[in-house]
Amino acid sequence: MGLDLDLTAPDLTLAWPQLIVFVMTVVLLFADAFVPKAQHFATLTGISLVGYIGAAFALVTQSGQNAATFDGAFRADGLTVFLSLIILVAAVATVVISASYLQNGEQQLGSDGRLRIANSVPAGEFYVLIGFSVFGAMLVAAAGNLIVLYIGIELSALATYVLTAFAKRRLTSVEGAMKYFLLGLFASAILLYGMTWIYGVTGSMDLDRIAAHLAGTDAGDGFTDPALLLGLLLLVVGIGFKMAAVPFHFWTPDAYDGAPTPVTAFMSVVPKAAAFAAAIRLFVQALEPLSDQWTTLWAVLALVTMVFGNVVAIAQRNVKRMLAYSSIAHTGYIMVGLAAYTSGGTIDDPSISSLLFYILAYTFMNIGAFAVITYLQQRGVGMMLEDFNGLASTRPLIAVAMTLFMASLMGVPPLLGFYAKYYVIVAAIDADLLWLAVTIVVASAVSAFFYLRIVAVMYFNQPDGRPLALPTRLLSGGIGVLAVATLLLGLFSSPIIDLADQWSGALTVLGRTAGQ
Amino acid sequence: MADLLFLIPLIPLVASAVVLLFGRTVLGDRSAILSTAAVAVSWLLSVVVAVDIYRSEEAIAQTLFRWIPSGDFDVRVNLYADQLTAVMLLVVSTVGLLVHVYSIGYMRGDPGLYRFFAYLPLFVFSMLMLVLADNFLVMYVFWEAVGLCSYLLISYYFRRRSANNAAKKAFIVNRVGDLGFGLGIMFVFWTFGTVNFFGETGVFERVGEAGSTTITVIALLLFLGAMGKSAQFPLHTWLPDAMEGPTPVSALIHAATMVTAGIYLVARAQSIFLASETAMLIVASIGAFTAFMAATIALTQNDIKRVVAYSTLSQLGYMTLALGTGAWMAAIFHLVTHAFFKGLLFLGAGSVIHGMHDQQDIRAMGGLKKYMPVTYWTFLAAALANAGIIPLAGYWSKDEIILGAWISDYQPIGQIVSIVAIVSAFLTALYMFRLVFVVFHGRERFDPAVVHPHESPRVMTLPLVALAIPTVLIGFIGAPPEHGLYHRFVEPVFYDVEAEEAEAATYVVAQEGDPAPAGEAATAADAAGGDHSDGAYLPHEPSTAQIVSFGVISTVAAVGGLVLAWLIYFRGAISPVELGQRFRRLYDISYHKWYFDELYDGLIVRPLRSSAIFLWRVVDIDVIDAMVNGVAGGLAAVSQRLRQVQTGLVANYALAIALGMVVLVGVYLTAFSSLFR
Repeated sequence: MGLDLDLTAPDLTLAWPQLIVFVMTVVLLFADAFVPKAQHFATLTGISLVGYIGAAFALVTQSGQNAATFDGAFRADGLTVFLSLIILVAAVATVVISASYLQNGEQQLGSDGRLRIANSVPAGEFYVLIGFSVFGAMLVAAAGNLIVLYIGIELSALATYVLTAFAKRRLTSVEGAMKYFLLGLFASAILLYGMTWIYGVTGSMDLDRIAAHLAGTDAGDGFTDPALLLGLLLLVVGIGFKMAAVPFHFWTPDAYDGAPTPVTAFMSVVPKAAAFAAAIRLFVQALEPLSDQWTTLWAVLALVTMVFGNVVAIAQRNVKRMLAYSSIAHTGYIMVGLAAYTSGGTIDDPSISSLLFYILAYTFMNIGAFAVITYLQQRGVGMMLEDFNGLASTRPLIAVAMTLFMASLMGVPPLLGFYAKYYVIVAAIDADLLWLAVTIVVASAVSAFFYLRIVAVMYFNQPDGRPLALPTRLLSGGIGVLAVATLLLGLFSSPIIDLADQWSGALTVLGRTAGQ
Repeated sequence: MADLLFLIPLIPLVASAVVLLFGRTVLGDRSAILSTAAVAVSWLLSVVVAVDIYRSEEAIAQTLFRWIPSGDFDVRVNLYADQLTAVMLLVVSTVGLLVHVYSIGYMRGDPGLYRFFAYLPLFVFSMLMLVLADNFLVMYVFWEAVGLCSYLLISYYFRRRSANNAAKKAFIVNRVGDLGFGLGIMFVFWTFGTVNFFGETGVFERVGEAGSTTITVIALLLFLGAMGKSAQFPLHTWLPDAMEGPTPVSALIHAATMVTAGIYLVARAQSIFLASETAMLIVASIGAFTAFMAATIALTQNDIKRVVAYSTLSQLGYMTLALGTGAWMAAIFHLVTHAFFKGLLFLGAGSVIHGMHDQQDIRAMGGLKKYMPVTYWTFLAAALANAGIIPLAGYWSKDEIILGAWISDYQPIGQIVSIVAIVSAFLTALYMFRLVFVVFHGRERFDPAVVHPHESPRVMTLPLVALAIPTVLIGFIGAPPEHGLYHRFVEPVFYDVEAEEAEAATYVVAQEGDPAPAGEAATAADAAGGDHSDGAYLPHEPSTAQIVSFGVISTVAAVGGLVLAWLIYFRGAISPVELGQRFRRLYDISYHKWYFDELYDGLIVRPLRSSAIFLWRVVDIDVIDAMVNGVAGGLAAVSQRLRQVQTGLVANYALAIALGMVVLVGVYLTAFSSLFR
């Protein structure tokens, strides 16, 4: 394999959506410095929303394409579009739910019974960091080689580390960020080390060329080259960390708990989506010939993650920590989609499309749940279970929305979360992983305890006379939209799953034809 | 037009959702206007759709979305409107609209108003979806949804214990029927591999593929569902109790629409029922028995709404017996006329109750004619129609049922049920006019110092008048008998017109005395009509003599009942008390509703209750709860333990990641690589 440089100019039109987000971020940097104080906040929020929505439109015009540029390092295929759309939805939702937080800062109930601002947050930097993180995650979704993939992951993660520490006067925020950062570096090193092994064995950074090389090396005795296997395992550890899979999840509760709540909402979705994008690119596209090895591995990790996440969530009384463990559990459910991949996947293989649909569903219901906490936290309450006491009588619509999110996370039909689990379970059964399907059902039953506990507290306990959260229009509207999406997208899920099917199918088919 | 079909159910649904969310806080009394307006739009669209179908003589279909894509089990939510659906749409939306208008007045000032006006359009939505469904599963969903709305509305006055009990009774008795319906659908899917009604692959086209036992089982299971919803013996006991709900609810749900869902189901699935003579026999017998039994009970009840409720049961029995004798069009015709006159009877009864300050006992009424003239005249019209007095609505449809049963292919059962129907018609006139005379004529038996009877407000009398018009006139869509506008409209649904023409051709050819082509034509007729060899799908043409003589017979029966009621309750020529004493046994049976409630209580409720207590105290608490609590306690303990893994020290976390990696690498390199080979 010689040095085959492609000297044609890169086709930048394929990268429009990503470039829009990048340019938006740079504009935000300047706007932060120059826009006068009076319009400062509204302008920045507006620029962010316009940027993300514009990027989403640019993405939609790209759907159906299946192209690559920068010598294959950047891909514009169905997977890019689907994952980037999820990431942008999460970005828009984050901007909407964090607006009032940014205006008012984090407030705490003082000993004299008055609220005072504990942490004010500079909106400009917040939006810029969100922008970079989104850009990085979109880059992962579009990555065609190991370097781009790694840069995307790091870009996304570095911005998130800083965001975690944004409530800088609160110690837990700084502590969570520190842990997240240190462990993140540790995991990145492992990931990078795995990539070097893969490069060393296959001699290529390009995902399709790696697949092509591997397809020709199977000795046929059922055993794999140890160097290759080591590379694969290191990748699993690195990606597993980014996903928050057990036992690489330890940063999650501390970071989720410490970060400002809108940031928690963001980091529970976007870096996770980026990690799964990386997993699909790395394993399904590049290491497809080794799928017998990695599917078992993901299946075992999925089992451990689901069980651990759900069981430990029971013991949490801090709702943010509870949702952190719940997000670990959901990582487990999503991983089942990866584990259910059957080698030589065809368009009919439902595994990857079920995974994609799950991430989409998870985006809506999880950000929704965090949005409700943000809503309560406006007034210095909202982290602990007791803060939900009697919410149904003081803020009935918010209580209904929270109930919807909890029921959806639990998987109650006909909500979005039910359909997400349903498709994943079908994929698992199709792949003869009946034990994994059963585990999902049992784990969901366990999860009913801590999800319904919040509902019970909201409806059956008396409000205890704490200061009421003030309704803020943008946030309430955002919660409303997320709740409606949670209610309706499940019922009308078949067109979405069809799209996911086409796009993930296109990916695997493309991967194979390119590999031949 | 097909593109707008979905709006018909959607608009009431939206209204219901809006009222449910904002009714208590924002809308208040405006909820009533919003819901009524929504149903009015639905009604308008239904009329447009019906006219469209009438003009084009073709069914309208609209594909909405794929609901369950799961391997072979592919269920879509489609809307389908043919002539039968159009008739149902008109009935549901018309009566629905008038009941909404009436309720604005009837429910005024009720603190739970918004709940009422959230559930009522929800019911209209569910009922419209039920008749628009083009497969069994979607129909089943909305079958349950109307049941839910019925439950919610019966227990609307939830502070009243009896209302809660009635709601539970309705729900539980319907469970028996719905279980049958559910099993029937599973059988259908098992047999045909689909739950869709129509098309080449649909169930109705392929009935011939199944064995006769299978089809009989399917038909009987479906009919069990119909028996629950349409309150046929022995699942009839819930309907009279359901009168605990507000009167407009009784009019809309428990008289005009929901209870006819069972009739609609059997009519829709006619090809399944036609394929099984056993099923038809059972349907006809149960219908006839219900018609007769309910009529006898209605004779002695003293609660005005209960009399009307038993009358509903009896009329539903008429429809069922018509279905069982293959008189499909007559059954649906009676459904239509009954919806109007029975809706009117209930609304009239509601008006009486309203004017009498919530008094429902007819023994405390009397002489109300002069206080509430509008209510009286409209009630009288409905009573005449219900009694089947020519030329009001009920006469045409009831007469057609009696005649249809007499000349049907299913003999001797057809003639037996026909006679039962005539006897019941006599009883119908008797109990209807007992009610009219006791309530509106005679001595005023209330205390004028306490009760001041008054006519209801305009918003309530207007729907009465509006319903009185179809009550008087709607029968004429079925006149002349068997050849009315109604028959020409609905015919394509029930009878294969092509096969009929082929039959006619056979007849002509046979007349010309050439047997060979006649045979061919007959085969053609069979091929077009499916596997029914005896031509049961063709309408029997009654002769003019039959039409006239049956018209006379049913008129005599009805007028006879009327005259007897007049003699007893108006003239006082015969003392009702003495009659009751003379026929003590019969009176008791009727008064105690044939002891069905007591029978079920002894046979089912009590044994179930004691076994439930056993299961609860012993099996549940000592065994299952102990197990579940043990598991839960164990999980909580494990959770507390595992929680401590989260030490908060970064070094520990890094160690855990490293250990995890070492384990993974160790296991995998040993087991799957060629390293140690």
